[in-house]
Amino acid sequence: MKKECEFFRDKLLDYSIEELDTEISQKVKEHIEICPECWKIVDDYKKTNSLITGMLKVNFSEDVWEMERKEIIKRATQKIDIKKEIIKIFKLLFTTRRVLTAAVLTIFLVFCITLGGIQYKKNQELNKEKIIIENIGLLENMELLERLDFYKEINKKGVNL
Amino acid sequence: MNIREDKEIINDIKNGSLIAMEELIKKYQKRVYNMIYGMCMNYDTAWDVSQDAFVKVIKNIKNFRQESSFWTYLYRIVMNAFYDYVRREKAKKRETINFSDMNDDDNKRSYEVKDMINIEEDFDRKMLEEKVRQGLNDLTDTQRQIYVLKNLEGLKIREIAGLIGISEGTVKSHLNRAMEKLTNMLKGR
Repeated sequence: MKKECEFFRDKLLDYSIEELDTEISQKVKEHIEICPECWKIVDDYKKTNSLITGMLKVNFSEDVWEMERKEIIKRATQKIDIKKEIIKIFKLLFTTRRVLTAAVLTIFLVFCITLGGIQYKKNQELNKEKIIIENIGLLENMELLERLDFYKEINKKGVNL
Repeated sequence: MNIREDKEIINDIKNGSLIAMEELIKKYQKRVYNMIYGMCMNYDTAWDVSQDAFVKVIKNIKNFRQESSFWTYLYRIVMNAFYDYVRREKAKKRETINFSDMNDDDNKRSYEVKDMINIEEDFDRKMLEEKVRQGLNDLTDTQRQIYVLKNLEGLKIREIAGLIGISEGTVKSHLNRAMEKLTNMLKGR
């Protein structure tokens, strides 16, 4: 590589994307006019950029752009559907933060099981109380019936008390 | 037609004007779409992400205090929407993302965006497009972002640094690497 080229080589990219000061830019311009090697490098950069930039510019017809605008406005102005939003949040949780989701679900599950256990114990105690009350009622009824039978028997026999 | 200032349009949107909404989207939709397309080279992804970004901007327009330019504000939302999308897709697939294979949410669209593009699909072009896509895929996200801002948006290195919040030196180094990779790829090295 020529000594002069060495000086200019790291400025060629900046030159091709127009990022050099006017003074240096002019010097590079003068150099590449007489140096085919450096000219080739600048030319490659320019060709690459123009090719890729051309490909990245998407050219839809105006109808398509209008369709996109309508869709955006429709989505932006529609009222929030709570059910849909909840489903969306759950979907997002499941897809993006698996570890976090697992932790949250575990805590939720433990909480539910504990709550369920407490409720189950309470229900059992209530059931016991209910059975006792029922039995007491039954005993009272039996006692009444027995007394009734006793009086009926006496009545039949015609015993005067 | 007289082009109105962003400030005026935004104030009208804040007052509920649908016409102003359309005006604002019309003003920026091509830039936004091309920006995302440059990041992923996928018509459908660019379509969905640009829609998501605009919907987010319009819904939260009341929070835009006009301290920075609207484009800076929009650009940040667009890039966030893009990276959110990439993260979601990565999580869905649990593997390295490949935009060319990417499918979209089934419940969102009933049409293929690529069917609406008006290009001559000749063999050479397809081959070249595939090469460019591969080249852009080989860049890092930051390299691709800077490359697109420089070449598609025509921003100066100083402006890119301000927009994405890194130093000019870092922008320059990312741009150099991106340019070298792409030039070498096209030369078939």
